[in-house]
Amino acid sequence: MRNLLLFFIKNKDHFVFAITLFLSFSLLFNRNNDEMSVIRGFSSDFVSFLSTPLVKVKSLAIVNEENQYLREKNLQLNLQLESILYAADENEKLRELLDFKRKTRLNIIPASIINKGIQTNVKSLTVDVGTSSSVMPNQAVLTPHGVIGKTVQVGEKSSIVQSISDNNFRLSVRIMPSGAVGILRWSENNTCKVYEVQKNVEINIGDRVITSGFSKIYPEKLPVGIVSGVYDERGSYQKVVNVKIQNDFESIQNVFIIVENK
Amino acid sequence: MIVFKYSIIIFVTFLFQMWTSEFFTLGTIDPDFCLIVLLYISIRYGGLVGTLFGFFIGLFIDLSSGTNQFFGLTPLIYTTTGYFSSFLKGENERLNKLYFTSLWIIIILCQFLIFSLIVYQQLLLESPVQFLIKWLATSLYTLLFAGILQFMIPIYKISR
Repeated sequence: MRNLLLFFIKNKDHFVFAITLFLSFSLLFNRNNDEMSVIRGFSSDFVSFLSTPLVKVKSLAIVNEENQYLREKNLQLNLQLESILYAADENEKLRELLDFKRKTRLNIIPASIINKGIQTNVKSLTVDVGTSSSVMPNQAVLTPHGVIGKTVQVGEKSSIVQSISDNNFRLSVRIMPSGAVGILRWSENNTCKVYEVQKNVEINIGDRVITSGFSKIYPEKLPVGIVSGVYDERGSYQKVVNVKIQNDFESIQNVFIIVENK
Repeated sequence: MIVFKYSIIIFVTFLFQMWTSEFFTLGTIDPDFCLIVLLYISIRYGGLVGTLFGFFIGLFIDLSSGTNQFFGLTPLIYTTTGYFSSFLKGENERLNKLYFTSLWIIIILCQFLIFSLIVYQQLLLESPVQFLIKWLATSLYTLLFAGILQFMIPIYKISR
């Protein structure tokens, strides 16, 4: 017995190898065993627990890169969106202008605003058409929403337009449907006042204001704005009418100039 | 105490393989750091430790791999490698450096050959050249790391 034990101890390497070899083959041939599946299930949980720190480190390593990529992507998409919105807006405005040009009986030419006056005493706009396009001084300038001014100085390829928002601008208008006439001048915040309107005329908020046609510059029935308020002048036979101008002077880009009344 | 010491080594080796092999992956080829550690331990501490170390580290790897197809193969291969590597223990006094190095390289090549013959048997039948490339690429990539390690801790010198 002692000799046998000594024999085992002496050859322990070989015996251990044989045992582990046997165990390995057992595992290989019993790999589909249900009990083995249970053990592997436990080991899978253990391995996933061990993997957690590595996963966290890896996710930290890529989070900066991903963040940078997303910032760039976000900026690109924002720029694209802005470009699309601008194009859609421009498209809508141009369609409106085209529609107006088709319907009007006036001889009009299109123009783009290339500059807005910065002088405090004269509110003006510069447009990109001049005498080469038959533009003359004192011609009406308008958009589909209404009159915005008249040409005051004309060059060969550009003209300066006195804006309706200038303090010295006057326009003879008619308020419909009453037909009352008056003189329009700028007040503030896209609002004009119509003076010299007879007190006995019935005028309501929402009435349309158009050009009267008394002026040689402005043909009759051009849109100007909508009545937004009416009040009587105390001690006078006239009333004052507030008119909301439909054009937004900050965003106008394209206009028409009436070069000849057909 | 000895059991505890080797358990720690097995655990650390396993963690090292799990955490770092991904960083060294070349296509579908991973370096086998466990095999390199097994080689060192077998040659340094002999057959008993090498065989048991190979069996348990192989078992850990198979348990963590998740596939059912060849469960038990890695302990078998590592056990064999550990056992045969242990024959080089103390042989540095008898063999010259070239023979000694050639022997452990052959052991590694054989280990990968047996592993590839079982795992990639389908590839062997379909395209023997592809199989050969796969086997050599896997073996040489691990041997590359083992070779780099020789400059720091030569196996030849630890074999006493």
